[in-house]
Amino acid sequence: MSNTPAPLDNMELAMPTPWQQSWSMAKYHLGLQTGALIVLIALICAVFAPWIAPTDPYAQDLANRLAPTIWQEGGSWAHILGTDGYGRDVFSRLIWGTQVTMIVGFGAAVISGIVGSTLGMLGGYLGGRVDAAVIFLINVKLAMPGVLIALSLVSIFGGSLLSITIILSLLFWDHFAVVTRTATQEVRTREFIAAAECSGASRSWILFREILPNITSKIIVIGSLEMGIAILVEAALSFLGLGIQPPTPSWGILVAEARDTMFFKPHLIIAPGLAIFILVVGINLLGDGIRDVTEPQGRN
Amino acid sequence: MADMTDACPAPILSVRNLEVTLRTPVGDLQATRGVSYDILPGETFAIVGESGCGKSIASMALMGLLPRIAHASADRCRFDGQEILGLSRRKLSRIRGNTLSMIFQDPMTSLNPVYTIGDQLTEVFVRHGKGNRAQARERAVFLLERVGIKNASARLNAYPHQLSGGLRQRVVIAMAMMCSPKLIIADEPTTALDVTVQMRTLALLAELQKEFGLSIILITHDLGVVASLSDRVAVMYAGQIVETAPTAQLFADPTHPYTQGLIRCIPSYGTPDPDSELSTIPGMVPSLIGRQKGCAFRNRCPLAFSDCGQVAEVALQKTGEDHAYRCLRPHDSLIAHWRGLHGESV
Amino acid sequence: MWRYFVKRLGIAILVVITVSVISFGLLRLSGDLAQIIAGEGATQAQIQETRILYGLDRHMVLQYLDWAGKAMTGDLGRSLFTNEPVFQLIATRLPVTATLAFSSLLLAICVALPLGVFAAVYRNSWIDRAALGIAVFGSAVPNFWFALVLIYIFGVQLRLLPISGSASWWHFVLPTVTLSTMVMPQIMRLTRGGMIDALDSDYVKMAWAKGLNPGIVFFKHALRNALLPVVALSAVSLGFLLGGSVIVESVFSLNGIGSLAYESIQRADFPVVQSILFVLSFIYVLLTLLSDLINARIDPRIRLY
Repeated sequence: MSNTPAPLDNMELAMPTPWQQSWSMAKYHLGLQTGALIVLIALICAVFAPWIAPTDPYAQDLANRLAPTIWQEGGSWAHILGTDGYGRDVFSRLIWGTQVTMIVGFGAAVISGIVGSTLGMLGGYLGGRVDAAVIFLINVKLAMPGVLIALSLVSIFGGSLLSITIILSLLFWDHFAVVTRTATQEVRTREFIAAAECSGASRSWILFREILPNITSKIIVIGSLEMGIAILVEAALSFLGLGIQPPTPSWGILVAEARDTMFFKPHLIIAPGLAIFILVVGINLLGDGIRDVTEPQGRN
Repeated sequence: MADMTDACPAPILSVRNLEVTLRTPVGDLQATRGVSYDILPGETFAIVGESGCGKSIASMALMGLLPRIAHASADRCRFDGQEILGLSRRKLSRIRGNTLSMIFQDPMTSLNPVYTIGDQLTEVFVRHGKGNRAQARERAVFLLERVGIKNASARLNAYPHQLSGGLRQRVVIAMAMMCSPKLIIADEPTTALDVTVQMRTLALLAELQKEFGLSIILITHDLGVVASLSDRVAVMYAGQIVETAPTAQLFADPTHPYTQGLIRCIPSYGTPDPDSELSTIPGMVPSLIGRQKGCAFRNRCPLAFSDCGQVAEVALQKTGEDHAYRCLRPHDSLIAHWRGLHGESV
Repeated sequence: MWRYFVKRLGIAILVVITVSVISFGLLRLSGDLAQIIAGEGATQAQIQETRILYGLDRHMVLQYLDWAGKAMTGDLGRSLFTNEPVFQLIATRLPVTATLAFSSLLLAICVALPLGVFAAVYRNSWIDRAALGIAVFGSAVPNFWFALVLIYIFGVQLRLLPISGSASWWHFVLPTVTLSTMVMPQIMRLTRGGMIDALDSDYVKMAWAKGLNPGIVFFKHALRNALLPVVALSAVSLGFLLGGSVIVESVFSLNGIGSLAYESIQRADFPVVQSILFVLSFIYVLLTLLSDLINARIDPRIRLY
């Protein structure tokens, strides 16, 4: 018998990097893939609307109002989903509507994400009075009826794409703040922060280079949730007439316009509502999926 | 204490070939492999090993408390004359907390925060039909006093958060004693406690054991705890028992290279010279996913040779009355290795 | 406990004051109130007269203090549109919305609580998937659209339920169903999550190890811990429903506080809008205080403060 140590053969442990690990989990995550696909399709529709949409979404054809869909009797390929009460092509309006939806949803999520995460990180990291102030702001925000505030703000500032986006972002920052604050408090107690502090790193360095990367996945998950809610609220405001103004094709407006004819042309209402529903489900699936593959506690 | 006057008392717990498999997304994980042991009435049997070696999950399997993804099988798993593995939940629940009870690792989390100590102590007594509420309270007060909690009857109305960690662990111990069990499984009972409280808690367990004739399975990673409390020890590594021996013998003649490594890691044992470095066992525990060939310790073993990776399975070899180890090397060469490491101390 | 409660009360009062300042300031951003009150064809002199009559020439702070002082005595001013006292307007509209919000919360809890518990107990079973499906549906469906779909199915096709107004209890069925989908997913997820945490906890393992019956383990040991956050969420949800019913009220033609707010916003009736914002946030703050009290009763750890 020799005394040479045994070769390590297959007992060696090759630890995958977090990215590799997330990626290999993503390959089996059906929800994540479905969500990503839905969001991708919506993104393509929004960016390439002028080329995808068969006709001009504003072009009225009063001779051809409420035309039937392709699967109904008398339907034609010219108007796959038929036309609305002004003879506009519903399919084209639906595709163009993706633009409003994605811009407002994404814009509101990003702005509120930046505001809310900054507040939450400052409160969580600095503690003391800053934290008390952040908590107070969150409490004030929670106590205000969000939809009514948004409605009054729109009536004051008008229903442009920019103002709607900014007003909606006022509605959603608190969730980011709550989550990042807690996450920051948790990260702050870890040793690498103490190490950075001991080596004389500035506060902004610690906040943005040490803490932020550790809570990014949480922010992305909240971002996806809030984007979904922002899309729903935009549609609701537009539906009530205090959002995006007609004739701009917002999905909420499409539903509102179809309301008069809903009893004999239900598909006009089904289509935009379903579009909102599917997109929001897709965004939520994507967000949940990202959480599952990036957060360690999601890994069973 | 192992009862030496009785020639061969029937074991209170007899386990043969216990296998626990965890189904994980990346494959089946063999948490324990062929674990076998007997526990005699009134003895303390320690199971030691690093975290993840399967020592906890083996006892969770006995209690029927495995996570959903786990599956346990055994040739035999007989407690108090009854096969307990695969017993229906209803039948098992009559044993749990009654003749077989458990002490969990962390007293901070193992008491329900929204109920009083008294409520949690008495419910197990009433549940197993040992008496009514008043009798349960009487028993609870008696046991709380016995485990050294002053002013016990007032403490019954306290909530867990009002007690310190050491006191809570005493409550947990009292709770395990409520129905006069025959066997207590203590899973790292002192790990979560302050060092100053650890020894007192261990002493308490030893007293209770003597007084009530209990058997104890002591699961720990701390050989110091083993030395102070147990009669016999099983050392586990990567899901297998690699060595089992009476405690004194294990410390005197550790045979398996892993046991030797563990003992050398105790500062006072391995290196009497304060200037020398502390011993460690280099390397990492291998992944238990999929069935591995050969000895699981070979990548960290100072005595490994080519055969260690070739054999299908390393068998447990008996050396003496109650001592066995799982290694291909002959006994005398292992002992020689140990003596060579520090000849004068053994 | 009392110190804790007094501190919470102090913060709550501060929150209410801040909200009232914000809603007061918000509605004065929109331009010259005097001009709006005086009407479109008013001359410069008439506008000036109105300004003095309504005290709008004074400093903003004075105006706010004046408003706040009156608000404390229950005088919320008069509607610019109907000239009715705002307090009375709100008092006649609030019961409809309160009924709607309360029944929606009740429905949401009745569905979400058992569903969340069972989803946690039977994880990855069909009931867990069904619960997840309901949660996904509830959090992604646009409620104005869902309301219209319900109207189409139950009101028009099946002719089972009335679709507008608040004449009878039946009129509240569809609005309640619609509104409850807004809070159901959250309550369900929180119950499920809390229950899963509790079931995985050491104290529940301990309860099993004590040989307790499954019923006792689930309902005595796990559920009570899982319910603590749900109580707080329910209170918050009720406040949210009171302020978020505007869409449902509009679709089902219910004369609640949401539709009052909607009408008032559209016709720039500032005293009404401002008072509604104030009253709703006041109710919200009261509800959170109430939930704190309830939590302090059921969670012994809070009594330490």
